[in-house]
Amino acid sequence: MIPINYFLTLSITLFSIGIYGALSKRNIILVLLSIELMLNSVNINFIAFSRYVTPKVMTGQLFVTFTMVVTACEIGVGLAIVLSLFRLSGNLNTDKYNQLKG
Amino acid sequence: MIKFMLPAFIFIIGGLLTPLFKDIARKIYLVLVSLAGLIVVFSIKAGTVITINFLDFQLILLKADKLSLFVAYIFVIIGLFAVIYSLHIKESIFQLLGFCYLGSALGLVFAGDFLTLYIFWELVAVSSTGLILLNKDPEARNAGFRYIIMHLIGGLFLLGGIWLHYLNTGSLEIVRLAAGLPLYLVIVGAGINSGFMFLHTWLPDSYPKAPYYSSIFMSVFTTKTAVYLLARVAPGWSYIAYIGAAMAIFGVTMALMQNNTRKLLSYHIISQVGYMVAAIGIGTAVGINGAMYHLFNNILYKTALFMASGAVIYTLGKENLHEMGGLAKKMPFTTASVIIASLSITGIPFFNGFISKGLIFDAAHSNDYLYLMLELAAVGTFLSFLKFSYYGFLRPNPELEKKAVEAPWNMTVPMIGLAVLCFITGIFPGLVTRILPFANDVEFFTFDHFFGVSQLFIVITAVFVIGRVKVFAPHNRQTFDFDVAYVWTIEKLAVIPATFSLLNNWLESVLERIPVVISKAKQPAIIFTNYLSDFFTSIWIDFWLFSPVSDLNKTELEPNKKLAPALNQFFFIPFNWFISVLGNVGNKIATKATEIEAKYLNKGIQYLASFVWCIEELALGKDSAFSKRLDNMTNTIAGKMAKVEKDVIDKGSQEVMANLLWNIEELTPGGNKISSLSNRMDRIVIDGFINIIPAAIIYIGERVRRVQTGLVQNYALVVIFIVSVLIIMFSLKGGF
Amino acid sequence: MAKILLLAAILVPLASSFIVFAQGRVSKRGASILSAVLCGVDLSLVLGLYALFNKGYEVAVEYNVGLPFKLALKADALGLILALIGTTLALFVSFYCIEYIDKNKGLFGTFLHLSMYGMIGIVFSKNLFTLLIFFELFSIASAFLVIHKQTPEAIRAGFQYLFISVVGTACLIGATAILYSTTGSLDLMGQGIVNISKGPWILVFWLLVAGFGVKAGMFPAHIWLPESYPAAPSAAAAILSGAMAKVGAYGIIRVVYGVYGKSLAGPSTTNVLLTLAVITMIGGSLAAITQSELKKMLAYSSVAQIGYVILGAALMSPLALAGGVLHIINHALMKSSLFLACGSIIKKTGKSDLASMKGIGKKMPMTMTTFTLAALSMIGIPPFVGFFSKWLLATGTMQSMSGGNIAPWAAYVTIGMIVLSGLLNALYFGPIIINGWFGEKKKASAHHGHEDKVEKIAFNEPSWVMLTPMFLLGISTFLFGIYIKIPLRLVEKVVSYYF
Repeated sequence: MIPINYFLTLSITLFSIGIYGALSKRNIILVLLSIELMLNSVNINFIAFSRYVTPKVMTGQLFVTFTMVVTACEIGVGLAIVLSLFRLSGNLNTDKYNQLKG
Repeated sequence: MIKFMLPAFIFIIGGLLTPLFKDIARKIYLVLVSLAGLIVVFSIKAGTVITINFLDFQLILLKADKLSLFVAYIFVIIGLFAVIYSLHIKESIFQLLGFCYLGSALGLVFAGDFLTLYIFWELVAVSSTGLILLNKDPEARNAGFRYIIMHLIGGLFLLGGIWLHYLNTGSLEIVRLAAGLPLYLVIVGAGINSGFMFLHTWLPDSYPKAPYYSSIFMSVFTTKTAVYLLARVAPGWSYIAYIGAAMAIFGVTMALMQNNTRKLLSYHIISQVGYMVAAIGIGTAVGINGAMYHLFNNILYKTALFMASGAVIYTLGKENLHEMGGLAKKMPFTTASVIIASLSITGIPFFNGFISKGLIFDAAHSNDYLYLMLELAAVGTFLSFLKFSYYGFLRPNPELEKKAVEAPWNMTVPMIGLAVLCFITGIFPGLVTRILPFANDVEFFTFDHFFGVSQLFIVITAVFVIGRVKVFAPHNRQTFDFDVAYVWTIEKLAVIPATFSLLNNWLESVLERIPVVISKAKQPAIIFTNYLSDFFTSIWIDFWLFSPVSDLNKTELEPNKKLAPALNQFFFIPFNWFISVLGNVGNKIATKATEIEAKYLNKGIQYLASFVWCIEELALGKDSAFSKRLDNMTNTIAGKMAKVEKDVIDKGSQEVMANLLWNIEELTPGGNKISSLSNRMDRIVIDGFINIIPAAIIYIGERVRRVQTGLVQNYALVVIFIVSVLIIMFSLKGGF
Repeated sequence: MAKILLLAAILVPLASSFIVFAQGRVSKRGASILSAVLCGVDLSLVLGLYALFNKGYEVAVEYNVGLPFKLALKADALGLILALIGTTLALFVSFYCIEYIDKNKGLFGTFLHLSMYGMIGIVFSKNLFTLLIFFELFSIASAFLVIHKQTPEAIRAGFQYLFISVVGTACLIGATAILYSTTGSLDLMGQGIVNISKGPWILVFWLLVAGFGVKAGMFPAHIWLPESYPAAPSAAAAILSGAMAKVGAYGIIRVVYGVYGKSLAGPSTTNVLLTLAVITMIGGSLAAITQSELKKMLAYSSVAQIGYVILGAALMSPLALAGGVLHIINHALMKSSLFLACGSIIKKTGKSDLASMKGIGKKMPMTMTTFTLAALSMIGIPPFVGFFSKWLLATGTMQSMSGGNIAPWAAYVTIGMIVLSGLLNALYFGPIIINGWFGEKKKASAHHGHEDKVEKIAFNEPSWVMLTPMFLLGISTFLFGIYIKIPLRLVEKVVSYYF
């Protein structure tokens, strides 16, 4: 059996890549994809821990399926927002969207 | 003889005699009287008791112990300063009332039984009302009316308490009252005078409306005598400790919002009296010492502050903070005394406020809530005096700086004198602690005291410096508290004077009989009565001159001034009554004189007349100079008499009559009063309370919004940073 | 005391239906206000019953009517849940109707109360005989809610509903007869009739399931549902879908757990029911995606949600039962707020097709907020209530699998279907939310360009009378999600009774 550390390393690597992408990318779609990456790394954690800690009960796996539904909704709504943003201003650069600036 | 050397009588009689002197002589006389009073008070030893018999009671006119002497000392000291400050005032009535006020306050402090105390209590109320009414503004007259009503109500409570106490114990001696209805009634009575929350409304209402020289006197005596009474009857009654602490916070909160300097100071009186009341409520030796010491100090610096604001009113006519400033260069003495007094009131080390607040905080140390409330009030005090001195004097204001001039010497000298006293008693607290009612064993200059104070003040100064522009800047608007309701209620009480004017009608008929009676009387009686009535009617006329009755004929009255005549009507009832009594006295003397004359004098005068006639006939002849002078003299007296009758009595009764009719006509209920009142309530009171919160929020928001970049990724970065810090913390602690 | 309260809770709606009818002859608005007030009275009575039940009182009444079976009423946990839902929704809906219903306000209130009478009677019935009496009355009264508009479609849909109900009742009567003749008991509220496996028990089971399934809108018998809900007024649809259709699901739970109990455990029978439930669930969602009209879409969505409840009954495990019962509560909140939001859109714009809902969030923000909250809950986004019932169902499936009730592959398929159903929900609610908030109405073509240059955003919300009940229901999907322990406490009582 593969040691759990491997899964954790994988998930933390994915998560770090996701964080880096979400914080540094200027294209909104790339930011959304990075967030997806982060969610998936969490899913890996869920499954790994569920497999190693409670192998009989599949709570982790179940939860991951629900997370996937939520992710799908999130991407759907997110892309809709991106679309309407693009329709509004014609670009997808996050630096341009600073209307909240104080 | 010693009975008439009572300090109270020195001042009252000295005051009554003031109109006899003019110009420079009056100035010298005033200073002499106050010096004489000062010397007399300082020469009284603790334990002296003076009693007289009155009706069935033995009244203790003077009973000196350490507590009463301590309060009396500061009263006479401040009396001297206040008299010097107001030397330039030409209206003798002011000095008369001022001395009566001071004298009755002293009488109250020295009173050994409740009846004496009550009599002086009412005298204090009446004479201070006179001081407010010196301002001829109708606003001030209304305020004065409200003031006297409030104090009469307080007096009734006090009287009720005294009466019950007498029924219970059979003694009138001033002692500490046990908890019960008498104590509660006395505390409500004293509470009105000392400005307990919700009973305080008369204070910020009337003080700013009195003339500036009157408010010097007023800021000293009324509230402090009430504090003295509380210290006598209710030391250690723990409820008033909380009342006091609430007053302290409430006073500074309201003061922070004020624009008018004297209104700000008035609210500070409430706050400072709150400290004293709190300390009395604690009631330990340290507490009472603290209260009394604070009373002493508060009189010193609060009078200095009132004097300074009075000086600005006198020289520039400004008393609103938003139009003041830039006075430091041209008015150096005034500004210096303001700064020293402000430092004192806020309790900076090496000024006297530090000492007395230290005492009070030491006394309150065992009670955390009380301590915290008082500490909170100290914060507010500091803030509001930063506001007062910065906006009133220090901040640049080139326009006003051009016009400003220093006040005359008789104003600056007492101010500086008081400031110096503040400073000296702050450095050498031993000067005052020696005469405190209880032995003092508190060390003042300890690290604890310094540390507590300095830490607080550095923070508050920083707060003020930051919030100077937005939050604390004075605006030209009035801030009301409960006094809107108070004004309304008391205005409705104008029905009472209307009833009284019916009574007045009857009095008038008595009044009308006076000339008839007097004309019937013979010469000696007339001269005697004439002298007395001349004197008292001079006072009376003084009042009539500025009463609205005399305005009545000249100008059309505006609708909102319709209350004023009713007020005066009410206020002058005692005077009318007095005149009628005078008439009766004259009547009696005259009848007696007629009897005597009929019996003995007629014959004597016949002899005298024949004797004179003989001399005239024999020695000088009919047209001699002596006989002419004699004729002239008689004529002059007769003419004067006729004039007095015509001017004073006839005219007076006519005007009272006109006034009465007018009153009944005008006292119909005002319809839109309530709506305008609720409007004011909405607009001003609620606004005023709430304004400070949005101001603070706006201020903080203005600063904080610059942190926002508007970029979502930056926010995300912050969130991730915080989360990772939390994770590291948890992992170091090993879980939650 | 308890008996009087129980009788009052049932009879007050009957009395109030007459009162509202009488009042409706005098004042129409007065009738609808009175109707709301009387619903409040009934809710308070049911709450009183719940309080008594909570204290451990036996709340039951029995009358001997000269027949072998008694007229028996009893309030137990499951019945109280249904009664609470019904009366709460009736209160909100009748409040909403003060403004919403235009004509025949009095009649609407009358039939609303009459159906409430039937419904409360059903859920408090202790045996099948009592239930049948109320069931008949309930079918007729609620049919009048469907035909309230009196348009040809409405009348057609109403008769269809009535017909199918009668078929369902016939099934029930048959089942009752066989059941009584074989076992001598009609008890519904026990934990299973003792000698149930005598005679043709499979036939009885399917007859009962069919009778109640017709009412619930289970797969083969779901056809009346998408016909009648769009034809009924939205308010009526809200209470029909939120509370009254649940009577069918309630019946199925009773049949599975109360009549058959543990003796039914085993793959053969329940797996068929499970299959039907899954088909209902997925089929309803799939049908909903294809709809272009909001009300019809919501009707199909209701079919799908009923599938969840039946799934909870069919899985025969404590967690799944908890999920199913919780979903009764959740669906009542979600679907009624959706229908009420839909009603206020129709009331204000006159349209109910999905295309015309573009950009409606800018004009009707409150309505759209309610809709969004309920829709997110429907999809099963975690803090909302919808998530918890689905989660319980999924874990219940696992429990059922480890308990040997269903085969592992069936369990995985079921979980996959639950998740898939959530995704399908997202598919048909997502576009409405996105278009409603972010979409913009197509600029009109050049023919009449002057008419709509820049549409000024003017709020076009209904008045507070309609907004308040709607928004309260919508926000409760979120609040109960956070305080999920409150509904779970009710559900636990049911589960602990049967397991």
